[in-house]
Amino acid sequence: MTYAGPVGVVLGIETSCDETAAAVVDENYHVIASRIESSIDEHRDFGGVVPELAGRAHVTHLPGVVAGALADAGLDPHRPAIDAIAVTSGPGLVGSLVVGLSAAKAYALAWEVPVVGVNHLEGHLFAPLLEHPDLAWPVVTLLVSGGHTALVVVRGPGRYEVLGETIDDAAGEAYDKVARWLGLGYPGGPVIDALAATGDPTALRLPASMVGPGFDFSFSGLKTAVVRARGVTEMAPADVAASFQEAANEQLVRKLRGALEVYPAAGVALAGGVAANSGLRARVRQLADEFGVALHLPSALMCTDNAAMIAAAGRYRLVHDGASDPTLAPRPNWSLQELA
Amino acid sequence: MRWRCRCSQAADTAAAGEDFAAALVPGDVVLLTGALGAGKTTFVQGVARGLGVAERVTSPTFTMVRPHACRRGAIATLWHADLYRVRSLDEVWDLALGELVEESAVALVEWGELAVSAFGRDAWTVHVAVDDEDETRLLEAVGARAGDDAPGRWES
Repeated sequence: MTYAGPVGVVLGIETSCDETAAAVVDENYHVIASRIESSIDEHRDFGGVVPELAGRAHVTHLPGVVAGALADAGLDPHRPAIDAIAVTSGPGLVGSLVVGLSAAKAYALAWEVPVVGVNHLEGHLFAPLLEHPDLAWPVVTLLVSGGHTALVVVRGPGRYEVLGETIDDAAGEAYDKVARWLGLGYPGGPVIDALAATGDPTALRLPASMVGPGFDFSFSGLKTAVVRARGVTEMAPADVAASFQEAANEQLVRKLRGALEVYPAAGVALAGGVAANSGLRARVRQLADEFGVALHLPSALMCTDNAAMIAAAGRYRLVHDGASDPTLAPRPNWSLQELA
Repeated sequence: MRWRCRCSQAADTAAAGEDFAAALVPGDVVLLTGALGAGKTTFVQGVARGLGVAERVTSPTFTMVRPHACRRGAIATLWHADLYRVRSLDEVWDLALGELVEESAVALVEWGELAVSAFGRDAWTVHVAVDDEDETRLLEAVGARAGDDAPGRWES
């Protein structure tokens, strides 16, 4: 069932993890306004995202974030001229998802516009399109964050082939766990990245993971190898961080290279929080040069969980699949494979 | 009762989990303890195999609690939980693990130290200790039901 109404301006809402976000995107995937409020500061002491706290934070932050994004877009926050609301309905923390879904349904009822539920991971796949509206498909996308690790051939909006995913820990989760183990705090990615720049990546010899021909990832063994390495507690944290980051990125880049060798692509893209990692960005830039394909590195704002990518994916889903039912429920385990 | 099992590699830890699954009945909560990298997720992957879970079981650190459909006997659902990011007992209660297992389900809880006082002797505990000398893992399961025979490779 396709949606027959106008789909011009879409309000996106994202609350799947610790960012509370709202954005307004137009029919040309142009971001008119985007606001993000993070509850990371409230979690920093805890060494991670606390879902119960995050749910509470979303309830507090969401009304202001939505009103702010609408005002930034020049719209009346009480009666905005929008055509639809897109909201992340999974995967994610159920208590956090419920906040966004409930708010989206309430706004939709008040403003008499349709709601469409969006897969958060599909949102990440739309992020390159928002920053490069003229990009050529297919794009091999490496999606790496605290909760997810996936290698996907994107042949166009809605056309995905998931080549591989993690079999245990997500890449960003390994960064967080190694960072906490080193006593560096949360979130782990930026602190490890900064520390690694001053360390020796060859200081700690770590085994290569998932060296076989497949495209699945594994970061549990690497994490264990770091914390169980002989003499590691006497090593400089910068050397441990540099060695870990080198091994983690080596696995990511090796799989990405393998995909580019097998699948004809016009471009290569990074998505998700780990896409902000400077070492990973440098290596993917080299890879794009080597294969002669376009490079789509997300801006810092687009690496973060944001609502512009949700609005973009929601616009596509609304046009192709129609509006969601009023019974739209959270789907904490919603896999990208189910969309492919 | 108290069972032990020594494992020399990850595959053994998973196999110990698969054997352990035979001892579980609906309503069981299993609290897993042990250091980072000890093999808690590997153990859960083995239990899942023993319970006939078809899908891939990955770390639930970010999703906190993840359900998996089982295909074995009276256990219909395996709830895989992770308290790595939880810091207070209040938040353990908020997860409502005790209620989740009421209907034909079992729960395996990684980083379960914090939940010990919530469940007390009603829950199993499985501790994974790492031998610093030879990197083997010593698994120790403590359960509430007296008289159960040690399953598979476990010893009383």
